[in-house]
Amino acid sequence: MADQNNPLVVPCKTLEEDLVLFHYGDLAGTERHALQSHLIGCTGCAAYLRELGNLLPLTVKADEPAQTFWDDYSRELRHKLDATTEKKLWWQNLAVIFQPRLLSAAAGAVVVAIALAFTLGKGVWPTKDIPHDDEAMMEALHREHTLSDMFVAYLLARNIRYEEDLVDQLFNSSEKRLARVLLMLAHFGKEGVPETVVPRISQETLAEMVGTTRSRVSFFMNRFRKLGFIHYAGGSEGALQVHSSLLNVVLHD
Amino acid sequence: MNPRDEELVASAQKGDRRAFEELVERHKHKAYHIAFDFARDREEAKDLSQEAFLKAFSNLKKFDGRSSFYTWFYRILVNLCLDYKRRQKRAPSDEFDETVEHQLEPSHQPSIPMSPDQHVLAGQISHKVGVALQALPPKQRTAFILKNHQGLSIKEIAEMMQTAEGTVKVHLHRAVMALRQRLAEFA
Repeated sequence: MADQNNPLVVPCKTLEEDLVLFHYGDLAGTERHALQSHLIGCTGCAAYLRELGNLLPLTVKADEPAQTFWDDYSRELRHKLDATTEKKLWWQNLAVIFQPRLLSAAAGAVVVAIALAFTLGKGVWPTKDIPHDDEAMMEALHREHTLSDMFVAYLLARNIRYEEDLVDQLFNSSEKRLARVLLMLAHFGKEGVPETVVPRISQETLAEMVGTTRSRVSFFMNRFRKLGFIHYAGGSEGALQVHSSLLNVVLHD
Repeated sequence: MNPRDEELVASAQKGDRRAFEELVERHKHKAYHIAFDFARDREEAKDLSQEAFLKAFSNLKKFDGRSSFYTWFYRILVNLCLDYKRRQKRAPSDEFDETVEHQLEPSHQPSIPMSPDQHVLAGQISHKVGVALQALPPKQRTAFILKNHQGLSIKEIAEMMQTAEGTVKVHLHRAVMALRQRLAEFA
């Protein structure tokens, strides 16, 4: 019989596993009847069963999200399925190109093209070398001062952007980095009217741009949405509206 | 009449996206709640359950119908949840304050107003339960969550965990014993 002096109720050792199964209603037939008869006479086992009944429901953390959560859930998943299908199609198209029959036909075409180039090419192709892209650009830069001004300005802006990205990566959290990327995609901080609608962009791409995982991006995007910083425009395009209030995430700690 | 899961799977395997979306609608609530039991965080649970659907979608051709779609899908989900827990153990995230997130969630608040004392106690219990569950070995935790939280039968759990029913019973018993020790103050 059970030991009554222990602070935790101690059931009969051999019946402990059966008591757990009994609690969950998973003990059937003769074993159940035998245990029921035993429980009448054993206070330790009966108390253990009561204890399980009190304790185990406490371990369940109920979570019943609102209907809007489930609507978002389905919409998000549809987008993710679209992205997966697109990726799959891309691979399938690539696989079609590399099918043995098409591959041999393509190889044949290449051989014919090379043969034609060698036999007919001598008189057809111009003898003077075509200027290299770099050389053409150098010539244009020397000749066209407006172009050279624009080119230097572009190079400087790009270098500044690299420096900013590096500082951002070193000193900012991934949440701030994501906010910055979204604001930049919406052209905030540039001259002219900002485009608050960002075209459909996958969370994987955003994660790569920010330097974090997709699940973190998903988490922060949901947080931004709840705080009203962004808004999913909905529809098949699934465009994203970025509000200027998102700047608060970047500017304030 | 609503088509059975197996019929929807057969259509989805032939490329019918709507059939797969119907499967999602049928199983999303349960999938989310299982993931929530493992992650105990709404966003992570959403991500994990969606990832399981995506994985099922990508591998649908490999599903041979030897087990039910239900068992096959939830096995994928449970494996993802266990992987998530392993990753979390290796790299605990400190970037956000989870309590802040919970404050933002109106549905995390109980429908019946609680006194401050009750609120604190509920928070303490929830925290201690979370820690106690986290401390369980993965197989014990899986068996316990699927039984205690989801009410699955021992047979279903055994199929999902690809193990014998007797082994599931042992895992369940050990999990209950460990939790009882750790949560003795609430018993």
